[in-house]
Amino acid sequence: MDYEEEYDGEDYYQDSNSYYQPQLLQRNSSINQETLELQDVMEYIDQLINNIGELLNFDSDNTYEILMFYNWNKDRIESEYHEKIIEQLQKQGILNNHSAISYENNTTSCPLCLEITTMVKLGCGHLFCHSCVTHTIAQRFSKEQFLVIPCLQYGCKYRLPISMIKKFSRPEDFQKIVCRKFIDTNKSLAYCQGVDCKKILRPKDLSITTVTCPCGTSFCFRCKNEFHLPVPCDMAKTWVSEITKNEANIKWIVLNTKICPFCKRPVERSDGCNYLMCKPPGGCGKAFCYVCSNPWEPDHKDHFKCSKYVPPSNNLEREKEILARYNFYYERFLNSHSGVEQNQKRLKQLKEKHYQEIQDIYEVTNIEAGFLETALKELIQSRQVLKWTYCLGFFISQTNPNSSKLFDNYQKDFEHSCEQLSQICMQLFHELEKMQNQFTRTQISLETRRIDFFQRKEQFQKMQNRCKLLRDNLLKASENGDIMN
Amino acid sequence: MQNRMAKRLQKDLEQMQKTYVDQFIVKMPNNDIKHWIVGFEGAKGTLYQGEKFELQFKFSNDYVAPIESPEVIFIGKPPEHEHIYSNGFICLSILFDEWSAALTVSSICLSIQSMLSSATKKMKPPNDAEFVKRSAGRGPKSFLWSYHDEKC
Repeated sequence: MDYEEEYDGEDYYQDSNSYYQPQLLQRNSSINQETLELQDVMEYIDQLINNIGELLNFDSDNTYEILMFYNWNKDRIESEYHEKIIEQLQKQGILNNHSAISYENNTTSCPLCLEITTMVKLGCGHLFCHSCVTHTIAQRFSKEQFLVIPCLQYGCKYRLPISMIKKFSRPEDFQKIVCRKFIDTNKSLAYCQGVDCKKILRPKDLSITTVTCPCGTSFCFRCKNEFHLPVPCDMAKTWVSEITKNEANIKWIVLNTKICPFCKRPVERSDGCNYLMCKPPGGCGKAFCYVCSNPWEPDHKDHFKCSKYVPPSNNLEREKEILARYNFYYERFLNSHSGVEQNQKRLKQLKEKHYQEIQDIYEVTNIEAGFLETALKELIQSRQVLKWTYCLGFFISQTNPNSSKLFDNYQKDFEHSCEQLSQICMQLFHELEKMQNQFTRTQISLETRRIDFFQRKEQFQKMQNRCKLLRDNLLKASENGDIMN
Repeated sequence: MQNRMAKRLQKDLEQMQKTYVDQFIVKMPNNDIKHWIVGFEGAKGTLYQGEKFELQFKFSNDYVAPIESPEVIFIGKPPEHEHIYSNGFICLSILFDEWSAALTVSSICLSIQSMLSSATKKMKPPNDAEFVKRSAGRGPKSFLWSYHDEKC
């Protein structure tokens, strides 16, 4: 089915283009998609109904039924429509004669609630009170069963027309459910996957796979799951189904704690960085690497070395090896995932309190400190990509050792720069914590503090650019097929 | 709303007590119109002849119009039937997806009775043990039912 044709060339979207442009320019410099509200979609549906209705010479009620029957696919209606179809649809009860409808019929007793009041007469001749019809519609809506609402009489095949459903439902409920059905069957539209975000996204063209809503949520437009580049959708799906087989609590333990190699206590990660200190009181005060659980000193100065997997030489233990390899990559996948989550938490904290702290300690404006937000966002985005490179790593190390080597290089550099950015982040936040103490603060002059801050800023910008560069390189390489083939 | 619900249930009760007084015995243990127990006997000439059963009806507050179907289960020893689980849950489409506000208590009772009467052998549902275990502590309306056959 070809959905592209259906919308390209529609005047409607050109209008909305000019309408949405200013807002998008403000928030998102690279415009990949348009953001629509339910209202816009509803307008589009109304227009579609009008057009089709004119074409087929139907009223809007029957046009709705036909469109729903054909899954809102205009092209299919145009190509399959002929007189005999109408007869068939009438027999199946999809098209109904609504001419008998009267909203203000005689006052009698409703067969359902027995109340004596004004009745609605349906096209099939059955009578019900307004309240019973309203409640039935509301209940059907809440079950998400949508617009197919049969006559309330048991066994009657008549369907309530859309105009009646609209009349007896709350406008926002009606709009929500009509749009949901429309968007669900439409390949060029998708709801934003963000929590509580009600926006609808439409990419500029269907080759775009990643969309970012103004609310900040990024997701894959093709499979509607989280952003998973450089991994293709089907691979990501296999990986996720592989993961879900594992027990949830194992996942929690792997995700949240590491056993300290010195004192054997489980240590929970507090920042995205791989440098883990078993903090006193309670801990032994020694540092180790979150990834390989080895002591940090002396060989973790370049702490990116632990992301390369060395397979055992014994061929007889092949099966064991696959499992071990899976666990290896899975653990790193989860590590990055928890990194993303911690960074997101930090980003939230930054807005809630750290900006104020920075202002107090260094006497800089929020604009001057704004680089932190950009850096954290870059870090989140990079870690998200890094996370999925472990999935890719698992699959290509299995199938293609040669490109695996090349890929390892990309990954290694990329991880290194992510870690460096992560570390300077952590250092700054630790510094902030230290400077909370008024006494410590007065020990250092404001001038020195400010110099320190701007030095950090420079470092941040450098690392952040490097991260972005490597991320872009990695994505480009996988897109061009340099890695996969 | 409470008033409307009571009115409708009152009518259902009258119908049960007038038209079907020989077939069904209605009790309201707590004198609560929202909680009924309907006793009946397996019809003559069927596998369940002479066996006594009790159905429990619970009407939720959404039964106002009555838009929402009541919760109907067997209490005591349920009949051994392909569509009735040992915990009393009944797999009958009119109680869930195909509920219509025009259905009355008596029409539900008649449907269940006819479901029993049309059985050709006594057997438990294929997934009985697993289902009963899974459903502990939940009401029948919290499940998505898939109906085993057309008649169900």
